[in-house]
Amino acid sequence: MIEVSLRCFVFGLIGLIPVLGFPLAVLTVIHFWKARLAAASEWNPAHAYLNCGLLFAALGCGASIILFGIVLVALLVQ
Amino acid sequence: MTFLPIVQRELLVAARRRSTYRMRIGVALVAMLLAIGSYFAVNVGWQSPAGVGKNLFHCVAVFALAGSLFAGLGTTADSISREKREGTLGFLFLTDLRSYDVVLGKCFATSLSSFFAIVTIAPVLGISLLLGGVTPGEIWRAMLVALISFLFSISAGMFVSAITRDTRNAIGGTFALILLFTLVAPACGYLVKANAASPGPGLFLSHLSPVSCFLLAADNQFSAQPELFWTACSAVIITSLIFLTLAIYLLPRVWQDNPKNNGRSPMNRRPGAIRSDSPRKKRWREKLLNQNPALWLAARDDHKRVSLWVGVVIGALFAVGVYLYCRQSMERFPVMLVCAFTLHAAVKFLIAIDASHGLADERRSGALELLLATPLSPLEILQGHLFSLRRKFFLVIVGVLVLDACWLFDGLITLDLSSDELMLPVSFLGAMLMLMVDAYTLSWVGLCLGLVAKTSRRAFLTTMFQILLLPWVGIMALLMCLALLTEGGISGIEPGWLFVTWFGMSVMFNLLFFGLATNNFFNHFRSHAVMTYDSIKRF
Repeated sequence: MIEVSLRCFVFGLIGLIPVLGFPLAVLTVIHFWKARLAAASEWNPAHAYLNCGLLFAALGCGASIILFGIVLVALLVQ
Repeated sequence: MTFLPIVQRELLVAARRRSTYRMRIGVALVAMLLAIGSYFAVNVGWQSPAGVGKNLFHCVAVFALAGSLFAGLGTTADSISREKREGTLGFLFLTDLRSYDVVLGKCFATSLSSFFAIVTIAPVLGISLLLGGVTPGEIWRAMLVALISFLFSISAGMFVSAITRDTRNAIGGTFALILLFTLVAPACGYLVKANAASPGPGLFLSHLSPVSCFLLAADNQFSAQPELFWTACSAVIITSLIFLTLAIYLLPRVWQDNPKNNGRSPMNRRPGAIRSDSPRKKRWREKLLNQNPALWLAARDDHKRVSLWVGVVIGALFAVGVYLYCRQSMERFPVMLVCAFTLHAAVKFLIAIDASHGLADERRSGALELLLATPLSPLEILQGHLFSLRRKFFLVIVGVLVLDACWLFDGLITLDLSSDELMLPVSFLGAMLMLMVDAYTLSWVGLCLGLVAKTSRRAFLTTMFQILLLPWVGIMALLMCLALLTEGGISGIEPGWLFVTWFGMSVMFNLLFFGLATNNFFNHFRSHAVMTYDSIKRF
């Protein structure tokens, strides 16, 4: 659980890179859910890393989608 | 003797409430930020003062109209129904108080802070007058329309609250009533005007909407036909007063539990509404009981799905009707997108109502505390609620997606693939995807907030704001910044960019609030479940 939480943090951090980090941001969400379910009945000492990982993944996903979408729209319009 | 004693008391209480000051200051700060942005744009020379004044006026006026129209949902919609549920309304009727005392008292008590927030917007509208591009009459009319819309919204909420008992019915009914008068009535009026020999009935229907008042308040419309604006305003005020009168008339007649009905809704009073389960269903429920007792508990209330389906089918038929009518004279995809977005919003609204009341109702009745005394884990209890939501809404969402697919197919037939309209089907697919994502997130966030929030109404409003409204607020803020700070305003923006930004922001907020909700749920479930309201406030 602690390892998954730390992995979630690292993947989330890489997921902040727009477009390129998108797959890792998705992986972060999957890891977050796994760790959250595992920690349902016990205390997770690395919960801060887990939450930060999801925060980074959310920002990364949003930025990637907006950036990719804007480029796609520009291409389609041209 | 004091005239309207409850109103006087409630006004004194509301005037000292912290939330009254906070809301007023919050709205004033947002408005001041807009004004500072405008001043900045003028000083730098990006736009002429008149252009900035006009843009600022339009931004603030639309913001005020939207806020006023939906104020009733958060204020009066669950005011009397809550008293009925808690059994405190009967005590009021034991005193010398009359029905109008109670209705008007509740109306003033719940809506004072929202009223102040709307009035706070007036000085910012005045700044747009100083900048130019707007006439004084336009500003006064915009303020009048905002106040009339506010009166309409709180009256509709009060009327629905007087005839309902359940929070879900109160909020859902108010939303439906506001939507009926704001969107459906003008749409029907437009159709009648186009087809009928005389424009009278069509004009009457479209004048019932506060949106018509807003459109007729523009200077070019008002200078051509001022009588239309005043007629529309009078129609909305009269409708609001009718709602209030009906609430006052009906309240003494409907507040008691009727022993004949045994507290059941009309849907459940029909013959054959209570019937024993079929052997197949009994076996299925036994299987659920062995698997997880919370699932068995959640599989009980089948009757609630009938009213849900009736509402969804009526909404879908209306959306299809509007699409079929408009596609003859307009381009298909824009109409289709508007219809689909409206239908999706209605389904998401229903999911949010249901999800935010699940755990909140159990906590209020003490059932959650009893469940925690059993070996059931928090996750199992939550699974039961999620199962109940899935049973109610899975087929509804599938039905809406099938309808979307039909629309998409119909639109693709006429689409020119070589043109720049290729973004439209992509946007439509994105909206379909977002319906599924939002439905899942709303279920989780609604349930978790229902556990934490002080009341189920607050849980519902917070869920709606976090998941559905925040992306739109982000888009609005972006548009306002572009309108105020760039020379070309928002005219050069591709609609596809706006859609992409909405999609990205929705995904971002969904993930953020989903994480926050699950964090609260798994870490503090037991402490929240046994908290009384006072301790929640302190927490």
